Amino acid sequence: MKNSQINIFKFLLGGCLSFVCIFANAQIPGNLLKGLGGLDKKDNKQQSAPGAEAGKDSNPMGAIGGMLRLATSNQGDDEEIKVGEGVAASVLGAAKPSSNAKLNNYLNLVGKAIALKSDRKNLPWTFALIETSSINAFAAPGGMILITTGLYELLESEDELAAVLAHEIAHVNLQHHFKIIKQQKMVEMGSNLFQKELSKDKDNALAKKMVGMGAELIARGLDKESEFEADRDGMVLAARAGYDSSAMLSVLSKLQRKGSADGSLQLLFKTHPSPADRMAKLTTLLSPELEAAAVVSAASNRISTAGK
Amino acid sequence: MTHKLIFLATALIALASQPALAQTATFKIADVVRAEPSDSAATVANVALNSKAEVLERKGFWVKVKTAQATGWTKLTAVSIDQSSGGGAGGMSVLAGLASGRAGSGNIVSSAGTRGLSENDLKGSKPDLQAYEFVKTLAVKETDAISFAQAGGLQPREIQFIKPPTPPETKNQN
Repeated sequence: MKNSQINIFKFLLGGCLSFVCIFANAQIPGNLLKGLGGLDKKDNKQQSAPGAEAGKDSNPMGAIGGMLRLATSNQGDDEEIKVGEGVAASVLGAAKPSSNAKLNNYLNLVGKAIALKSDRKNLPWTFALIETSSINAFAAPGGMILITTGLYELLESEDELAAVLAHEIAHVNLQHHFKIIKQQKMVEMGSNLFQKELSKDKDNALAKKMVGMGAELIARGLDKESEFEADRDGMVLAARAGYDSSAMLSVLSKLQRKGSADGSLQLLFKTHPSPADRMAKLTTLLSPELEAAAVVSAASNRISTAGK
Repeated sequence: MTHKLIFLATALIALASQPALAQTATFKIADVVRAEPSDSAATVANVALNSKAEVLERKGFWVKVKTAQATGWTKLTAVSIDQSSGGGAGGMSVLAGLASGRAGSGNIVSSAGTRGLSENDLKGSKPDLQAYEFVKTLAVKETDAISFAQAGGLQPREIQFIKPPTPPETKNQN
């Protein structure tokens, strides 16, 4: 029992540290922290009607748990897409989408095939190249994935492209950004007000308020564990779609070779663990199926003619 | 954590000016070295825990290593690549696999004059909803994506997500 309490505390502390870093001014009430323990980090498939359940619950801990379940249910997809719209629009405000229709179409065909292997195949998955020499990719809640031309130019095969897109898809599949944005909004507003606004949020006013937080989060990055998690799940998603499960190692190795001193990698190195750490982590958790999927795919060379 | 970053940064700076050296690895477990990168390939050597090896190349999740006893293939999971070894910034560049040596696809897709993207660019960005609406139009149909995958000869696989080991008590969190 004691160990259990310690584990819960560690979990909460980890979660809190991540958004204390991201939103340094956040004040987090103690009772809210207890309530956040109800969040199941991995479960995206809650089927109950948590909003109603939370409304009946006079215990604030239960109410918050209910709201978080709402965030991970299908009912929450619209809210998430709305928040994602603002996040993606912010990134697009900083780097415009490429007008290369063939390449954008190529990205969407490859990306969609991978996204269909996720738990959230019905999201409006959309992919685009954005014009910047920076090497990076962004995942907005709701399924819009943006990859920079700087990163695209570095890729040598469709397997590598798949690895990059699958990593971003995994972030959305796990709702990494959306969960943090939502938690932060609850902390800021107070759980009762948040619940009230959420229940009557017909014109997405609440979602709009969360947009600024999303842009901030994209700029500052997630916690290290979320990145490792996206690497791990991304590897599986790419392999499910028929791609080389080990291609992420090639991509990370290229980033490592370029190094943090390269200006085009400044933001990526700031917001992600080092490529060396990511490569080391990727190779520690492999299943026999994933190892068997580490073969260059038949589609690998398509990248050389894409867009032409 | 800070110390680790400082160490990595120092290693990067130190290596940047040095010629490429052989990459080395240490066996994390006692394991075997095989003739080919396959579990069914013949064993060419048994290697003890903490043995050192030179890493020659990667193929999938296998690396070709040169140990005191033999040269052959072992699983990446069995070794840790020494971060400070040569072969480029911070080591591990051999993990690029049978790399062509090219820096990229050679497909230049950026517009001339494209500039970088900083944290402040993102924070200070004015949301471009018109661009967002444009990107939405790029989405493809599920059937088109599946046809494209099939045309490329991609073979779908059934693979479970990997669950990292969790402390036994975490199930009590609910």
